[in-house]
Amino acid sequence: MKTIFNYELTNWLKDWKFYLYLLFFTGGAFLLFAGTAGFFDPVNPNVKTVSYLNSPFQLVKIWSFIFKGILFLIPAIVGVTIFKDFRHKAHSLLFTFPIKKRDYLAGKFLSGLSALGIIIISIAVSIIAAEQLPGLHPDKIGDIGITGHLQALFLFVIPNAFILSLITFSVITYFRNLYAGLGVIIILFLVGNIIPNAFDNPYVISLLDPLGENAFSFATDNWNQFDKNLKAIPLTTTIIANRILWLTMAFITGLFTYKKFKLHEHRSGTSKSVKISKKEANNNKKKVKTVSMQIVKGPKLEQSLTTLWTLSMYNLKYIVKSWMFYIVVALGILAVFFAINQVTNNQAVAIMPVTNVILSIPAFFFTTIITLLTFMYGGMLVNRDKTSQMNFLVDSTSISNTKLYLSKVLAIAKMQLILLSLLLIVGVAVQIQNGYTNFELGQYFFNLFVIQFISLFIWALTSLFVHSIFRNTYLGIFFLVALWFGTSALPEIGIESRVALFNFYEPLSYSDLYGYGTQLKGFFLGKAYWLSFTLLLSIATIITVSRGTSLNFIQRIKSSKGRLTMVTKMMSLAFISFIALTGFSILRGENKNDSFSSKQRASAFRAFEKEFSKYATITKQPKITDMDLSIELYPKKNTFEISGKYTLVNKTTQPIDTLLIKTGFDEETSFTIKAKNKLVDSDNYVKFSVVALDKPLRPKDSLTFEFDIKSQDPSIFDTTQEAVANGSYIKNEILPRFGYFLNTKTNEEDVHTTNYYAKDADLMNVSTVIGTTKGQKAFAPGNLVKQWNNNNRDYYEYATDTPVKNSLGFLSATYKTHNHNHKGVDFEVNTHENHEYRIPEMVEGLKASFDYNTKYFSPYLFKNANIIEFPKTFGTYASVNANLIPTSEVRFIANTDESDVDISFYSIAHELTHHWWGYQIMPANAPGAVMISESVTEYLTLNIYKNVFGEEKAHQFLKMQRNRYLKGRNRDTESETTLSKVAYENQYISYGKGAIVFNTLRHHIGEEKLNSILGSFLEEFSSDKGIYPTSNQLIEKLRQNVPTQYQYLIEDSFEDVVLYETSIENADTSTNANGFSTFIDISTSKKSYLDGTEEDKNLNDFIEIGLYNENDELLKLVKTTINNTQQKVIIDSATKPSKVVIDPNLLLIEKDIENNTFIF
Amino acid sequence: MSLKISNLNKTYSNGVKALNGLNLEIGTGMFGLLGPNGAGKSSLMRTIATLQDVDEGSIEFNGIDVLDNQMALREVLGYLPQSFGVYPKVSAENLLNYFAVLKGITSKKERNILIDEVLEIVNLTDVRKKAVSGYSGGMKQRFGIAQILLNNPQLIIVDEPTAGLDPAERNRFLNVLREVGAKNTVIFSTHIVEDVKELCTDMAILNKGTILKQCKPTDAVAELEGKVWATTMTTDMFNSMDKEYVLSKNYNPDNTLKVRIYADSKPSEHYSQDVANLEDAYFVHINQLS
Repeated sequence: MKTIFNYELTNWLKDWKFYLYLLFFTGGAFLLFAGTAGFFDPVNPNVKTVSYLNSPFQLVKIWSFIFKGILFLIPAIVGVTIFKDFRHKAHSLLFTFPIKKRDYLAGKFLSGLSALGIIIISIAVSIIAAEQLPGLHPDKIGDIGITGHLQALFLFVIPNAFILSLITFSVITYFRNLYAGLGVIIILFLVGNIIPNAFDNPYVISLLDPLGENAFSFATDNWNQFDKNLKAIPLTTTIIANRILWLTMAFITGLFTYKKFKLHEHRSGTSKSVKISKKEANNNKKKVKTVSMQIVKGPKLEQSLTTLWTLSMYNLKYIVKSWMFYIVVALGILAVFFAINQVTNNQAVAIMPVTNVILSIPAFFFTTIITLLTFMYGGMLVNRDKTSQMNFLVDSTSISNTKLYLSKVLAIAKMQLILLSLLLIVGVAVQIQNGYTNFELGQYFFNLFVIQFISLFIWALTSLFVHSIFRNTYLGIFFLVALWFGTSALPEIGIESRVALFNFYEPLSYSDLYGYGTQLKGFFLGKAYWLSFTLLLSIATIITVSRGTSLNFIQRIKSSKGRLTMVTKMMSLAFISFIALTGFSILRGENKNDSFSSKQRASAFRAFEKEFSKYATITKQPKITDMDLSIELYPKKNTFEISGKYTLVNKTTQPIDTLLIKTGFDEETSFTIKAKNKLVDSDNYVKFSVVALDKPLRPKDSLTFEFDIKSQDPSIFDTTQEAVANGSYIKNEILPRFGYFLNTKTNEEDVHTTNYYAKDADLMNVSTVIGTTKGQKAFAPGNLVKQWNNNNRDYYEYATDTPVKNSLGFLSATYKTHNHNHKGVDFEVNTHENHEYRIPEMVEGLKASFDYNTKYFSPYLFKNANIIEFPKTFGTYASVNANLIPTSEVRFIANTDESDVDISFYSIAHELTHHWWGYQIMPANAPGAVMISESVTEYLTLNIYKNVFGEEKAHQFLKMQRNRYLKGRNRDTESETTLSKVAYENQYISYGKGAIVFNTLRHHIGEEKLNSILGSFLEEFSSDKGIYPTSNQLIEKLRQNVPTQYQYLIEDSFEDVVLYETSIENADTSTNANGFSTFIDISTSKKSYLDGTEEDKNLNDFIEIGLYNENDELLKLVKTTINNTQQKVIIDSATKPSKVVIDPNLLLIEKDIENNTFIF
Repeated sequence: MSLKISNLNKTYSNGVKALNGLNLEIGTGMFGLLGPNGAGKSSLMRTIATLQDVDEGSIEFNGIDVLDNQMALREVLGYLPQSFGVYPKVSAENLLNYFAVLKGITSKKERNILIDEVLEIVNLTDVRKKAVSGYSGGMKQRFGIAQILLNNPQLIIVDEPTAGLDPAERNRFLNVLREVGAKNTVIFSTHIVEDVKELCTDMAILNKGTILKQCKPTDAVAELEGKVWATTMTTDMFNSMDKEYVLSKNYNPDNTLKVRIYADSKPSEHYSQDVANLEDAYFVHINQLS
């Protein structure tokens, strides 16, 4: 064994391919680590997140990414070590030597594994080296030591390498087929993808994943950023069980192959030699004839095409008729099916299986498989003649190189089309299964056979080119995978242009309202560029073909010169000029678009901040009281023009002599101020102007401000236009705004006069004339005053009769309208014609919210409430703009039948509640503003939800909020803030935690009581007064009105970050005179996580305990006071309980509630 | 119909001179190319079959400049390399169908008729559905002939086709080849003199990249008439003798040696004149005794 081992390992160490792999991986890992750690980027001061890349958590993640590449290396190294004996038929000679099976197999396997091990260790070393680079971002590298590296290597990387190597080695050895090894890798990849979607149980998911990634995620599920930075990977039972399970699996596979393997010429069970039949043997005296047939050849072109087609079918059969292809396809379909199912039947938020959803879910995953198969079969087709040693026979026939090449291209294209068709069939099948019948075949065809196919076809040409260069299937596949991965990594090191990112394009977004929109132009331009590039490669592939004896690369280049005919020269020239032409157009488009790239934007803003921050001290600005707008929308041209007039009033007590004006970032805006003034300073990129008024605006004086806005002509890659063919959505952020907009905080003295939504307006009057293309309906805040047609365009005039906040939306599309009148208010839903599924739920949401809020708070102030659908490309949210409720497309295709929570009802009920909490009362522009708007609204929505759907459904709603909070806090990369200071972006706190803590308060003090506190707060700060409250004021209000025994809840809920951990240590039931006594040992801890610390809090808290019978019916619910971490509670009940549950109503926030239940 | 080869030179990158100013002219009929291993037979065959380049020289077949217009030659070429493999698990019928397509026969009907015919000719009809990769050596070689016949070639090149075949298979194979070679130019390379004797109307002896002799097999033998002498001696005697003119030696069952030598007149009284054969001619020319 030692001899074989040494021989094979030395062989690898002498092989240039080994060093190529080594260089690629070590270099790649080095660049990846250095790049992510900020070596190539300037330090962005705005990102304050401390996220150590060298923490155990991050290193496991980084290795998990690198291991995706190593997967492809395993067959190429461990597999090839043994397979080359079979390929070169060395085994027939070798097996006659006195070597033992054990020594042979072990020697081969261990030498391959060692070669792989060397590469893995080198990667680890290069990562550690990258860690030592000077100039890395200090927030990215922690002083953590080597633990992370060791854990990543010994828990995951090395066991995984061993497991997969052994399985792959066994399969290749058993079948004596190298491609089987690649098949195993692809199959494991697919299985890994199916498992999380197919099972619900996290233990099962963790166990079944061969790489242990799910077990890792499961073990670190509750980690927040601090844990992620510092903690070692816990050796949970799932991780250990997973490792043991898969090591065992690998050994079993290895043992099976070992048992079955024989040192024989052919693998056991296959005897292929054909016996000469008697008849034939006796027949050799028969008179032999010569070929008598005269072949009549038809027209040349027709002949060529027929030949091409027949050959491609021959090649296609070779690809398709193999067990591996069937398995991959079957698993692929299964994976797609489960992935779609996950979205369409998701318990939290199910989506209707509309075509664009069906297509978007598996698109990436499925095209990944097709791409991998393209890499693999491309190599197999190119090297097939040579591998089977039939090349001399084929090469000496009169078939042209072009035809041979094209037949392979065609075969792979056909394979791709077959697989894409399968995706179509699966998609339609899922739709049928869900009872969805609006099959948009046109959309299927365009997406699959145009958009997806172009990219895949480019890969097909690339695959054939690369393989014909390398003439070694594994090396070729490796290069292709590297190109593929590498392209997606290039932006990391600053290369972002489409002319350099091979066959790359951002996934296209799609809206049912307007389709793909203008993205297609840019998409096709990019694809045309790469297609012509690969067509040029095709010519290179054809002319460098070597027939007959192998030539080296230089000889092939030399011999190709002879094949450069006039036609190929002309075609090459045509492709080159097309590449130049499209490349130039791409660069020009990108240049135009570049001014909006995130990097450019960030640096421009930095420069701006440096230059203009001196104006930050000017905080007194006038407020808009009246707005007159005239909007001309041109949906087909993706442009719009707005002219408008503001009335500005100085509501401060001091004269204002300087106006700070910010206009729309993407638009051209000109303005005139109807008073003598002088432009002092301006930034044309950020669109900020500083204007000095000759005569200061005195308190209570007003000023007229007029402006004209013109949207820019969109660049070919600009995908962010407000105006789209159908479903335009313009927001007030593009209108001129006042004040230094980078100030996030408002001065103490101005806080109560500045609302959270707009610093430059209190409530104001708005009138709008909006013109759009004929046939579309346009909306603006307020009531419709007039409607007319002019110049073949439709015009609508709207005016507010009740003042509104400066949070406006203007929309236009072809809608289908549904009207409902509820207690004198018009409820209207305007939606895309195919999106009518959820209208009843939405209208119910409006009604329920209306009834609840008018009952507890105040009347609804508008004449109508109007839900208007906007394309999901603008977002997935819903919002309120005065009487309009612009709502994302995705809310209209929610599948409420499948969800735990009726998301359509809920989101609309939530939005209408904002009419009170967010409009009738507006928070001050201070930290924690969204506690007043979102937390209260979410709590009220929970009550509304309970009124309509009952306790049980409301419990689901609460569970969803709990998950949202716990998940959100794991994802948050900064230390968690209290509700009193919650920022807008931390919705897991404002919505999730907000709903829970208000609900707990309600549970203890009663709904009427809590709502009356809220009601009096709303009255005190009603927004028409122009005085805005802070979260602290609301907390104070609560503190004043909540009974003493619940006072601790105020601090815990709003001013602290508190999590409980309760569990039942033991429980016992015995009979007593009146029935049963249940003794429960409860362990409780309450911890504060303020500012990233962890501190025990004293217990004197109410905790509920429920007893249940075997039918899960509540027998008794007891509210008890817990003062000790270990406490015994005795509960008497009339009937025998079979289950005890702590906090069944989810009043406490607890990470783990599994241990809250005790079953007798 | 003639193949004209002039002044072919080829030196491999490892310095081996495979073809060394080779000239040859071949007409219709079976042409045998005799030479020891490494003489340059396969290099020459591959070169004619458009599968290898030369450094210098020209090849012309029926007005086709072979080196310049490979495709035109491939149209009329049938080539059976010294060793070849086939796609695994593909039946003879299926594989022939593939070759027929490669050779430009577009009509499926025509291909089927043609394949029936060639399978009949090479006597593989019974095993047509079996995978060629499982064939015995002789069957595989006959399959090789079958694929040659598909495009009705005018120039057929078969490189050492009988190597490794048992006598029955060799016979069967040569019979097939004889039939197809009657009307066309067939170049048949071998190191087995018997093959040429049985089959060829014309022949050449090749060594070290050069043609040493081109003639009819019968002429080659006739030239040696009266110049071949044979005797029997012990191994020791053989070891001590001058071996320059030894044509061949064969062991007798009693461990003595039967030695044939080339000489214009009787070398000594121990020798007696023997009838010259083609093998003698082969050795005379290989060793350049004449």
